Amino acid sequence: MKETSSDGELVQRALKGDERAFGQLVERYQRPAYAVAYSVTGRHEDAEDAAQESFLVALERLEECRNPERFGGWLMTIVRNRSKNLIRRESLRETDQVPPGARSRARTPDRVAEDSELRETLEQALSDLPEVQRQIVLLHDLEGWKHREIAERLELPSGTVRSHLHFARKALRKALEARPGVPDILRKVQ
Amino acid sequence: MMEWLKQGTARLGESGDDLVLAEALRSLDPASEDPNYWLRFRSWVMAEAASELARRRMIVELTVEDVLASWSRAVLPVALAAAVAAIALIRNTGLEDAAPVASAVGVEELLVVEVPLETRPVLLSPDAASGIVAFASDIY
Repeated sequence: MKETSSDGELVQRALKGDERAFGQLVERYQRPAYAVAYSVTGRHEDAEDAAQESFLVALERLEECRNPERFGGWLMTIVRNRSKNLIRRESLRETDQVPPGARSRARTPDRVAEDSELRETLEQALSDLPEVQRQIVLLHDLEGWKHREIAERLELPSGTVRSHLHFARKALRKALEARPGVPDILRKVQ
Repeated sequence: MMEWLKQGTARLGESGDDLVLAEALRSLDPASEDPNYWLRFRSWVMAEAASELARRRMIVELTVEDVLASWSRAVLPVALAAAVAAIALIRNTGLEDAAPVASAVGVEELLVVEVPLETRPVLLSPDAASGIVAFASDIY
């Protein structure tokens, strides 16, 4: 039977070095952490690095999590900050701006061309959204978080979350509609 | 063609989710290409976190008794050796030359100690009449 401990319980156990508890926290938040990191960095590799590092930073600073029941929100703050720092560091390293094509993930040889096109269209459309809208639409439509959960963890009013989600979806649909060929791909996805 | 693409409206699920958009966004999920992605993600984090988790376990497992025991293991032999050495030293010193025992000394004793027995100034003695004082008394 799968254990469903609260965040607070898991944090308390992780504080004492309980590997299983920390593992459960990672399992619970790895996807949202990646989604938030992706919404900030716009690149798979950076999102992966930022999300993974954030878990390690969170573990090292676990005593600073004043409200363990709100571990998720606290972690997302770390993820956002790590992601922003990562971008800042990279922008200092790279003199050239990253071309839009380079923002997509490393291609695998067997990737289907249509999937690639859809992904690139989505990535481009997402990169045009404000950061907070990217976070919300990814957490809601990709990770399946509820409005209330997003509001709590991003520390935003629930109404603001709904509003951002509405505008983000609208903008994404518009961007997708404007791309020739994408509706066909979406039909297949459906 | 999908309704939302024709009419600009989303196909919503019971919970109000935009199902088509959610499906499209799923292509951004790294697991869409690599089903074991999240397993590897977690494994990497856990491997990197192992040392920190071990450190935390060690801190918790160390009770006060453990700390005292580990402390005493190092300090007690040294303290015992020092005590034995001190006792031996005191005994040896006592046999060779007994140190004078300090005794209480009164204030008066302190004032007269090392003062010559003749406390009356020589110049004021009857024998000193021909001295400087006598000479002075003649003048005044």
